[in-house]
Amino acid sequence: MSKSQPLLSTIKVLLAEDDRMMQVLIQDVLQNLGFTEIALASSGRLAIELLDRFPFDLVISDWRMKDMDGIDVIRFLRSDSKARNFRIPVILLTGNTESRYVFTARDAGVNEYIIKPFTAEQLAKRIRNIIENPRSFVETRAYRGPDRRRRMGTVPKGGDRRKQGRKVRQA
Amino acid sequence: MNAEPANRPEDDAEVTLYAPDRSLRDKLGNADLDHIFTPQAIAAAQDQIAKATDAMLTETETALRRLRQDFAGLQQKPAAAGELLAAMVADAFAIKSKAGFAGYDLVVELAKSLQQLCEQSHAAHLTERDLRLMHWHIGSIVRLYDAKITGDGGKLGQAIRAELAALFPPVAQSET
Repeated sequence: MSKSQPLLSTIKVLLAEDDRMMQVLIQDVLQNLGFTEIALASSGRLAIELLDRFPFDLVISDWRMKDMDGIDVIRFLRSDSKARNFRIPVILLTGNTESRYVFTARDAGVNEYIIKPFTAEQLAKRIRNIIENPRSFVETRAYRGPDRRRRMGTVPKGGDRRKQGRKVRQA
Repeated sequence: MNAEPANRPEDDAEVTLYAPDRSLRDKLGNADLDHIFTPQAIAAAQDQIAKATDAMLTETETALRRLRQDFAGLQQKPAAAGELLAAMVADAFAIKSKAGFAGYDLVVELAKSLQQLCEQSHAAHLTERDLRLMHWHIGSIVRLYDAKITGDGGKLGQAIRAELAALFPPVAQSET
């Protein structure tokens, strides 16, 4: 371990996972990466409760949970702009590989999507991406979440429509 | 994740764009992330995953055993079909999520297909074809798992895919 690794102890993680074995595994993996502040929610509803009560920096959630799945947790989070954690980055873990699931997650406001089985390197890469390359947060009538446009290099023909009349707020 | 949003609003004046939240980066100060996410830390984390894989396999075996029992119950007690189908969905999902950690890709694919099949089947109107498909899926998962065939299943995998395509063309097509 490097000397600076304990720095990750300043980042509070909420892990929402209802499978006990997966819970232990992901917690161990996170601890090996250097995280020490990890709260566990064994259901989607509990995750919502904890997010309402405590400030977290990052949510890692399974998609499919028994009472309230990860997508509903994200939708709930993003739905209330006055909520404590409505802009918090969320990494969604899932075994669903089809594009329709990816689009559903994206449109719910997920930041990163990890397909199981995942490696420690994949998880570390997604977390790094959230830290190093945070995306703008967008609010429209139909969507609230991280900017879904990841490639910002090319402007479509006719210019970037969003440049006109947009309001930009500082975080 | 790169495609444009389908529900992009027509009126851009109603778009509020918040600047990227850099609070996570700020919490880490000037620390170099290469010194945090070191190869050693990642290797240690990966080691945990490897250790967990054995436990996942035990869970897979348990779920597979439950799945066979639930399917047997489905054939014997049609009145309990709703409950048993729900249990089979949960069993198939458990197999899908756990077997994947050990690299049983085709088992995962078949478990996923079985899960969909159970979700789409109507408890009150289970057909002979539904039961044959379920039976075939469970049998194929057992064959692959017992033979410890990982990845896409090699020759047995090819044979299973061909069997699926030959026996149940509509399902084979929807799963590819």
